[in-house]
Amino acid sequence: MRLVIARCRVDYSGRLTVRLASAVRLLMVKADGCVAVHSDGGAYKPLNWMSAPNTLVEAADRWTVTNPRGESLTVFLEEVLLDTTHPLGDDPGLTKDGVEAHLQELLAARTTVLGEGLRLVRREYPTDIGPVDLLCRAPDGAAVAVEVKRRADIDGVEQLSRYLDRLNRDPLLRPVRGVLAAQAVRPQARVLAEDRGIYCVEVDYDELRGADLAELRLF
Amino acid sequence: MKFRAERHEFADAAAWALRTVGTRVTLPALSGVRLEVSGDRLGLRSTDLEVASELSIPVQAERDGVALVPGRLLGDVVRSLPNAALSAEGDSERLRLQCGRARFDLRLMPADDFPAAPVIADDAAAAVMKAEEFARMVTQVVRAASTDDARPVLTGVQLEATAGSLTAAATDSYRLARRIVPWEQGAEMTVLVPRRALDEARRSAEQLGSEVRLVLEPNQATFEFGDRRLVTRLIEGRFPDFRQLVPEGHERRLEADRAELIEVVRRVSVVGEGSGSTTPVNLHLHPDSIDVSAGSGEVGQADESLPGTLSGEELQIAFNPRYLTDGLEVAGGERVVLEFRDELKPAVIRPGEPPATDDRDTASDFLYLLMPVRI
Repeated sequence: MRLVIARCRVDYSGRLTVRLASAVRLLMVKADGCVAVHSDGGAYKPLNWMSAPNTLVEAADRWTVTNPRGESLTVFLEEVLLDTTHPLGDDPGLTKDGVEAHLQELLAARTTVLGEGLRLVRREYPTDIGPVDLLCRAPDGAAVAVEVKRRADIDGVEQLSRYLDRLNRDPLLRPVRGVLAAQAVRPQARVLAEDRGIYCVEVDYDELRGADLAELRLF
Repeated sequence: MKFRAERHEFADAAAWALRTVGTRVTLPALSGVRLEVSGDRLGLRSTDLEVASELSIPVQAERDGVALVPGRLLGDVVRSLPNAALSAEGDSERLRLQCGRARFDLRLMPADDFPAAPVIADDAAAAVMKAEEFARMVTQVVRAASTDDARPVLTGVQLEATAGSLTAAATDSYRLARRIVPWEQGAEMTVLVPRRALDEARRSAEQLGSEVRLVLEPNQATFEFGDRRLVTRLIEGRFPDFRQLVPEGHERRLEADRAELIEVVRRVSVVGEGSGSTTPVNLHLHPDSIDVSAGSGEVGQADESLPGTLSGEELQIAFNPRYLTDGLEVAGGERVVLEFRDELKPAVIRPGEPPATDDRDTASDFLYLLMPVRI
């Protein structure tokens, strides 16, 4: 990760033309080549950026970043105040809460807890807005999408509704039913879920874990 | 202190002593290696309060003395020394090392804070084993010891000396490994040695060869290799009575090629790896073959069969693949024997009958008891 704090002007040309007037800004050059121009405000969004793959050419007074789509970002450096590089190493990525991830794993191994005759198709079934925890098939052949939570609230119902909306666009899957599985389901969440035809199941984590201990012991 | 030593001897001694330097210590002195020149020898000591190592090497001593050198620094220095004669001179605060044209001036730690050396009683139960035999015994049992500190007694290996034999046993409650070796000493003593200490002793036995002298005392166990020794504290508590766990008979007996069985189990269990929880490997035993299979609906399936001779009725039984291959690996020998009662009772793994000329491993001195997995 290279961080440069500099007084600079920035020109972007591509889908449209944008110009940033001279000011002190933070320039980030990430290990994968992404370049971002930040001001001193806002949580995450840079003023301007160029995603990898791209090419960065450095001259004494300017950086020129171009990509294969013909877009270009030119940073005119007027005064460099800081230029530092730190290797950040591999990022472990986001991890789910341990219990929730383990619940998903346990339920994947015992899908019948969620409904009679349910058979697992796969865990983390991908949709274009993110993976749904489990995709199963009911004995009648219908697809069943399962969202696993520790505590199911309104947000959980909304999340599963969005997945169902996407999955129901797939002619090979539809109609897809929804199951919300959690250690506890909040009353409001249950009302909303049932109103939308989503079935709620409360599962006992400890009991599932006990069933997971199929290994017998010597003593 | 002031001495001259052979560079390789000093580097080798320091590297050995560094194995038991404390890494997460509350007492700073434990992160050091204590050097002491006395007469014409240099003694090195380190301890993490669980395991202590001690050794001495011959040096040309000019002045006796003691120095406590930061362990990590000493390790880095000796690894980088040029190939030349080494001389050292120090007072209570600094140690100056010269090797060829390289000079190091190391700051020392207060030597008074370092714990006293463990004392070994003259009348302790002791016996000498061949290093190779000792290393083999440890290798065979140590894997069955638990790595979970929740039950400390299961993280150790029990060494039980009786007239004529020494029994080493370890169990993590899923499997048990037991090995009996001759013990030419009358005194009886039972100790529970931490697995890490025993593994260090095995590494030293493999590295140094020759012989190991084991000294078992009520509060510590010592492993001596010539002028080097490892002293470990013991785990307190009652080790399970493992003898009552070993089945007295069996209904089925399977004999197979050991290497082939390991290979097949490894290959088939690949489909169960990486799924978070362990997927069991199933063995279906026929009179002259074994079907090995594994898998889950989520990942996929694999199966393979191999020749094997079964006496008794056919059986379907499942195991944790790692525990099974651990047992097969340490059993040794070309052939392996597995004895079963039924699919829910422990199986026994033994080495196959040895050739008549090989008297080292009789079939009865090693056994590995393995609990099946419910399917």
